[in-house]
Amino acid sequence: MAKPIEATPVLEGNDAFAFFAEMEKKEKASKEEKERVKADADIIRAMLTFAF
Amino acid sequence: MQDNRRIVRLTQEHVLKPFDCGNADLNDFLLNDAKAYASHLLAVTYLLENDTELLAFFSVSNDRISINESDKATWRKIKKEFPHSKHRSDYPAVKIGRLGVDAKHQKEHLGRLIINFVKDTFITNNRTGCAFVTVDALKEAIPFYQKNGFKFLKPSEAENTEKDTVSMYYDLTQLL
Repeated sequence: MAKPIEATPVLEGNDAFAFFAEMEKKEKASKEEKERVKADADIIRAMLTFAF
Repeated sequence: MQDNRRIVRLTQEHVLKPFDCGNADLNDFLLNDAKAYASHLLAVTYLLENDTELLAFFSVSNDRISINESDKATWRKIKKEFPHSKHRSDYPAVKIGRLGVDAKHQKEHLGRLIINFVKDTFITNNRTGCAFVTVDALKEAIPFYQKNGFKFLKPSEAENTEKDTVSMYYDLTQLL
């Protein structure tokens, strides 16, 4: 039996603060990155045999 | 479509084609556990295959990123540091529990394509709210996820030698 998929840990302390601090940066992906994500997704989407 | 590649959902009846991603635990999960996860409604596994090969697989489930509500000291610190933002104690997410690419196809960026498919799916006409992608990443895959924009949820996990996996996340709002 393989190792189970671990539950996502509940954040507290410095980890929780760091998580919010990252969100506060409100980072945006570059135009090129957004286009790459979309293009990659379309490649997979074209292979779907069902509605995802 | 390249060599008739297709994505199919793993069903209980599905006969898996030979697969070896080079990691025994990932192979074991696909061969012995993925169907059980599906039958217990814990994770759905999708297969990228062609007529003769299984090229990759990924397992996804609903998830959330939660912040301990009883950790009052941290909440005070957060509200003091970021007074103008709304803070929730949990955020909806989709979890990529397992992702593996067959060793013969690991130079084709299939892992990146799958990650970006998941990202794009949950920001485009999404049926439910979902703000993050989370992964339970094998430590050897950390550089791959970092390259794809994922960050550590608990940086100390990466240093913990007793754990084989580490939780990472990707903030989908950066793609909006």
